[in-house]
Amino acid sequence: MSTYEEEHNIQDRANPRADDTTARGRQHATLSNIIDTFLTTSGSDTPSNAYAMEALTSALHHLSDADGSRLAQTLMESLQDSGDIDGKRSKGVSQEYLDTLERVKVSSISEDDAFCPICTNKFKDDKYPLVVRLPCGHGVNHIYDLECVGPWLQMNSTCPLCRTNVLEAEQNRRKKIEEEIRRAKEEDSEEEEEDWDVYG
Amino acid sequence: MAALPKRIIKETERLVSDPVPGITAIPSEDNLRYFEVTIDGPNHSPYADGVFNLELYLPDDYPMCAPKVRFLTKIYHPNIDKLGRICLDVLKDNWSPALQIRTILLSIQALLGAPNPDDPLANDVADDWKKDEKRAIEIAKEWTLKYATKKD
Repeated sequence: MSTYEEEHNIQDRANPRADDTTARGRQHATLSNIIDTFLTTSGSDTPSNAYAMEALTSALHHLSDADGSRLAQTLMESLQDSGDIDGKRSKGVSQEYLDTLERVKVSSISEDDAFCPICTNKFKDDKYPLVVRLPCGHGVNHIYDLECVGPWLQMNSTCPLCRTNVLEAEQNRRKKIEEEIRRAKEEDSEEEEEDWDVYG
Repeated sequence: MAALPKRIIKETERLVSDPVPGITAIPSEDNLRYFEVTIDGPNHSPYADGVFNLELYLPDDYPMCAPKVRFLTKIYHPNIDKLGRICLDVLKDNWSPALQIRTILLSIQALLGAPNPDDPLANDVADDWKKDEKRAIEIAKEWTLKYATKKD
């Protein structure tokens, strides 16, 4: 007679199958699979790299706490050193950010001899200009060739002219817009509460 | 060697045709990224009577990173060490690609006029400077007479 477990295609709790341990083991992070994750994701600028880095650092930390091994300590220090390099890299902006920078039509630039502060070439001398404005704030017009400011911003997210952190500036700008939208919505809903009921 | 970027050519031309008062920068004949620089000590500073020699090198990724600048003339200054290395923010973390050779050299000239012993590179000099500023300024003057070229 077949057992209850066999009929229902489940395992007997008292007799776990051999591969159960490995299945369970896989759920726990081991140093070797943390290192694997780190190696496969390192080099890319993705958040998962930062996560893998963190996981590896904490794993090594545990290891050195557990056996006081000097190797773990050394590994950790060298990792932190490379982390500084990574940190510097992550000070920059992403390609997506560059893609969303405000484009400026050269014909809209009032000064005839306006030039890019980085390459010092006049915008109007460029046959195929691609000019962007950084979100430094109101009233300032910090414009560059995308080709010039792009590589800089990828290393360092500050405006070369005023050192405004363009990532923060962009975040603040978005916050403001969201705030305005929220306020507008509130006012709307106060005025047209019944309408919302109908269309909502 | 890769072709010289247009910006470097333009900067060099302007340094020669429209030099900054009290500063010269002449590119070397065999390497146009290497400049021989002189800076006049600013008036009303312990370096006022001297002309100082420096070397300036534009790394391959200039202007994405700062020029490398070093004093060749021995100088007694809290932000310049024995090897002539200079502690100046715009040469390090505060570099910006909108800065140029001429603005950097002006900053170095300004540093001579305004030593900053609280952010030292030469610790012994900075200590002297903080302990006895009068004496330190005397030494700076002596060194200027001894090592720097005299102003015309």
